[in-house]
Amino acid sequence: MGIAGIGLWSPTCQSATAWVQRQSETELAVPRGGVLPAMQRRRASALTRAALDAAVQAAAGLAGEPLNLAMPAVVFGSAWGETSALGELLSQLREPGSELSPTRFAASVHNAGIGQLSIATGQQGFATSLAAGEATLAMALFEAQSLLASGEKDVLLVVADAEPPNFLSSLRCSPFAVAVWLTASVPHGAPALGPLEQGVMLPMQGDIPVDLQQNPCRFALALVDAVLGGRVAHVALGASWSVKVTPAMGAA
Amino acid sequence: MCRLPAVSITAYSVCSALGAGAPVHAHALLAGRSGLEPAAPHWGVATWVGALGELPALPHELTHYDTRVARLTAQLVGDLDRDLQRARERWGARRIGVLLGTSNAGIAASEAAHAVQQTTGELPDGYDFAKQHAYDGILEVVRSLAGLAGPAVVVSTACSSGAKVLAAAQRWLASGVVDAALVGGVDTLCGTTLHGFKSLGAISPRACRPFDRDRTGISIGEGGALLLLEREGTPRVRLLGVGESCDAYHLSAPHPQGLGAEAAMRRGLAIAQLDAGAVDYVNAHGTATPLNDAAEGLAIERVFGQNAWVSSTKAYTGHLLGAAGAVEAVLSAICLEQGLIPANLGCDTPDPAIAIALARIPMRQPVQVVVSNSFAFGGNNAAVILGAA
Repeated sequence: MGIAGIGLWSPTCQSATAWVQRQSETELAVPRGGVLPAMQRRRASALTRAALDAAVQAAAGLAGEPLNLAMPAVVFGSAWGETSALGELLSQLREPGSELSPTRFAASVHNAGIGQLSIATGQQGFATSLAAGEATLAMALFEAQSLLASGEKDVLLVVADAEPPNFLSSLRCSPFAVAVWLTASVPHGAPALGPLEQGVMLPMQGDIPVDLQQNPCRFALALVDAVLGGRVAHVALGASWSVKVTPAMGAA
Repeated sequence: MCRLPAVSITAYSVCSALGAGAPVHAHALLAGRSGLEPAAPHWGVATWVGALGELPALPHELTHYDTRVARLTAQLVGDLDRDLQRARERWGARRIGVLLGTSNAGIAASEAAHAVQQTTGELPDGYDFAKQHAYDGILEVVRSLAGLAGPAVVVSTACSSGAKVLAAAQRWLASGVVDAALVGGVDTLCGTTLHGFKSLGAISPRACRPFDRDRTGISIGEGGALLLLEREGTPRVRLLGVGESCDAYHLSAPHPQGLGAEAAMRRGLAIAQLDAGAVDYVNAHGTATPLNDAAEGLAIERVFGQNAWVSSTKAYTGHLLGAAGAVEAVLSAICLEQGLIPANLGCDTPDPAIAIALARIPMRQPVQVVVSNSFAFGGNNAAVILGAA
């Protein structure tokens, strides 16, 4: 698999390049929601907006050529899904006589983000939304790999998670998203991923910011490091999955 | 997407308000028997549902994962015990994937936990968001009970989830990353979906009436199905292809002309390398909302004209949400195996604006190819194409 673009969003770091250079900001940012029109942007969850901000960065292209977001197959991975909409719905359900918000209900499904992306960009091809706990990034890559093997030329992979409602869980983390634009062909000098490997328990690589240590998508940080890094690396993807990453020729 | 090789479906299990197992479902389809009944008062929504009875608790070692949806999943795995043992011996546990579709996953457990918390101030003992609410809880249950160690994933694209897992499994098999896959969908009733669909004005106050002139919305059900897909083996039926598309139109309403639905059916036929004329029966999504049935009717008419029989089975089982695609794949398999076109239950006066060959009575006739439609929130569409063995 070739890599044509990459993006990252967290409240302290709003690009893949900033992450690799460890340029984190002290003031917490709010995700914008990239491609969404203003009305949809206001309704979209932080999870969806973070995912779309990362997707827009990936579509800027590593080679300097912008990529068309209406074109690729889309694979979205999230272990916990649209947790903030869920929290609101559960609270509304417990209020006597109150009705659920139909807008919030429609946006509570796991695939709300890819639905909003498709509506905003006119993407009418393939889109899926999946979850696999700590293996979510690995399974999203696995799905992308099988799509590319089945004839898709481009796959936009996005993984994102935000914390559960605080009344249901003590798990705490910032919203966080990484997007990787994958291609069936590997242009000369472009970064690339090998086939996924199972069964080797590599240690978690790199430094994980405190606010992302419980985020199921944190494994994507090491993937970004490897893609934009300077040497071939085996990256732990979570559970017992890993992948060999060949960075771009001439990467720093 | 290029043509993909057909895959053998060697075994399946199914559970809905009609009962458990293929024979009871076949009998209900032949007899035109509905599993719908008025919703229990505690749901607080005046509608009809397809409800299951009590489900046995999980084994002790899986107590942390014990939810209603996990119990349903465990029952479906148990019904395939011997087939799974054979598949493990043939392919090895790491070469068998697990792909489950669900829309709600463990939301019902979180609703119950939140209710207790509001009364006592504490979450109940035993509630665990990461193991019960999170989507992968049911994966752990399947992997543990079925003894499988291959790649495992939940697809959650609302009401197309249970169809899209079949597509992913066909790709996984075609690209050689697995030799077999346990594939299916599960969902159980919960307040969030009953009240959520009510808020959208999409819930029927009585049993749903797909494609009827006076249809008033959906009846929700609970249930699930698992299908064992193998690279080689004696097929009961074959998975020929799955077409997938996005409407790019609206989060909770279908494209009014059914353009995305049409694209999904045409892509499925292309992957299976079939002409529309080869299709004997279309198991429609047919939720009985005014918008869905009108849009889907237009799409089916453009693809098949009046040349394939059409019926929705939602009035038998209720709309099973993330499980619908998998359960309806099994109902379609039953139609192929038994030579059966089920009647479109619940429709007294077909909508004159929908020009499809609606099956009004159950018919016994050879069935070689079935298309089973599943459409979802987010404009996410899938059309599963199954063929006789």
